[in-house]
Amino acid sequence: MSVVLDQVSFAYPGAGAGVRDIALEIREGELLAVIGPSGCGKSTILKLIAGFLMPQSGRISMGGEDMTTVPPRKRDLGIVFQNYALFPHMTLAENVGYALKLRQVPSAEAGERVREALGMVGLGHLADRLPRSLSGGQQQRVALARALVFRPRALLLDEPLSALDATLRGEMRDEIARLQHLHGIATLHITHDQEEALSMAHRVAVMREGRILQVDTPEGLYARPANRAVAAFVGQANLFDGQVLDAVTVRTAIGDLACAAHAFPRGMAVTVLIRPEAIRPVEHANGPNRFTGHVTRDRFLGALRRFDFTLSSGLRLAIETESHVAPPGAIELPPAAVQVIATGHEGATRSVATKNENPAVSA
Amino acid sequence: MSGMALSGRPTGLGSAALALYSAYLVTPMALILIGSVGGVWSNTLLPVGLTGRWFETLVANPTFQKAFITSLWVCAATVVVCILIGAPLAYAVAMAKSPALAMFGRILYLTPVAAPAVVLGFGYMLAFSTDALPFLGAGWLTVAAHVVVCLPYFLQTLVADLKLQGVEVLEQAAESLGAPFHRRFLDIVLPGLVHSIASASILVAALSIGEFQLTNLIAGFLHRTYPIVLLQAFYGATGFACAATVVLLALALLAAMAGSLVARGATASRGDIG
Repeated sequence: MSVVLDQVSFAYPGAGAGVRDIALEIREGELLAVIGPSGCGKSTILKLIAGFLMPQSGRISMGGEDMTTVPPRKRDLGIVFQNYALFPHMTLAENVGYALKLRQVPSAEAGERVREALGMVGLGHLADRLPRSLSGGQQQRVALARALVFRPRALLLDEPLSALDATLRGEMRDEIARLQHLHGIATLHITHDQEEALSMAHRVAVMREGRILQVDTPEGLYARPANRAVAAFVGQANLFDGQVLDAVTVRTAIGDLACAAHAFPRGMAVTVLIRPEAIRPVEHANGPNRFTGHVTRDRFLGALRRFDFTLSSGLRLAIETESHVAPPGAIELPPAAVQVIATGHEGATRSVATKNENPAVSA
Repeated sequence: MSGMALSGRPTGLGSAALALYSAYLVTPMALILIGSVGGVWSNTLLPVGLTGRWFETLVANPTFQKAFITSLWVCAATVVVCILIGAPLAYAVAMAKSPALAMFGRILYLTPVAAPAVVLGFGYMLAFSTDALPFLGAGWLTVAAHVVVCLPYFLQTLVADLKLQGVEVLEQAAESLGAPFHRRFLDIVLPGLVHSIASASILVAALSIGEFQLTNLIAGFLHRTYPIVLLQAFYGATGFACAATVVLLALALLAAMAGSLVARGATASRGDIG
């Protein structure tokens, strides 16, 4: 069953924060992640879908049925909360079976479904334990079992992995993806961790200041960011203000760059994006898009290495390489790796451009 | 480092201060205990002789018997009313989204400070000694007055616990699973409050048993509580006064010990969360 938000807006009383004109569809069987910085409104979207907040305008529907004013308890949504929200005085079986008890499912059937749900998350042998005796990862699994046992219309995950350590987070990503696939259920995953979103989701929505900037596949979002804000938020990025000189050249603070700019009229102000891993170390600076400079910072990141490369002009670029070899004294920005993005068509995007004055390295 | 070792444990000056404070706290109670079994105590540091007659006299005294029983039922009624009013009220205050309700909660908390018992007592005397409201001296009025004094402490305990538990999120979880309000309150909120209700009830019991100022102003002759008649004992023999005080002290200590045990139980049951 799909979940559709149609031009939904909500503002918190007494505060400017909220969400504006949200148009979003979580398709049947899809895991859609919403990412964005703190306070961008991503949790507000979850609360609106859950019914904990009522939109001031717009419509929320599930499977074609208008749910905008339906109370939370009648929406049939499985929710996994950030801190799990397991009922501390109930055993795991009672926690998982609570929704079935409320629905007056016959006890034999309810018992069977609880056993099945706990077994599905590998905790069948702990059914009689209280939540406090479990680890964070185990509590998270119980929360998932509780959210799925009553066969909800959709699953909402509110930063479910943020309280776990790095190792456990990796395991739980796979676990959530497995269960979501197993149930084929429309799932909204709220997270501030872009790696988590990119690795788990079928599609990702990027939010900023209460608006959705772009919804795309993880690959599409990384390769074709719609604007500067998305480019800056998703992955590492070198961003520069530029001006289109002709169909194949953009003028920037680091120099004139050869690139595909034919989609933009001559003279237009644009943003230039160069991903750090696309920059190539070269021996000399003879040729287009080649610049001399030197490494000013070296960071070992395990499988790869990140360098800050300061150009002769004083501007700085981030470079990532799996070879762990520092650029010898010159770099090349391959024309195919120089992406041109329209600048200034949106307030949020403009504010990022102002914040990240050239040279910019954003993560 | 004269007063505190590196480990953070008191040493030297700190130990001396602790010993002095303990002596200051314990000495009066020790003297009362000694006095309650002492024979004659007049112009001497300690009483002369050993006797149990003060307790025998106390037990045989109908005024003290009645006051003791009155104290117990007033205390029990106060606890029950505090639970019945306090649990839903604490929930409303803890979950308050309206600033007005939150302000009401804060005012309630400050009541014991802003309006001391003696002020409340004068208010009760003025309000309930008229022909229109001739209830001064009624037992239920004493209970009502004790509730007014004790409820803020009861609320403070429960509201703090509700916020500590993150009951709002637990409720949202229950609601998303399909629970209507009454089920959420009965299935999720109340079971989570069992320990703090027990702990707060013991606090209320201790406060009610020992309450003197307000009760002295509003309790009639028929419903005098134990602390009120205890005052009279001080005008008689010292040993009798000490014995009567020991009874009150024992009740207070029992309440304190029970409170400590309940608090420890609550800590143990939640301590390993997170």
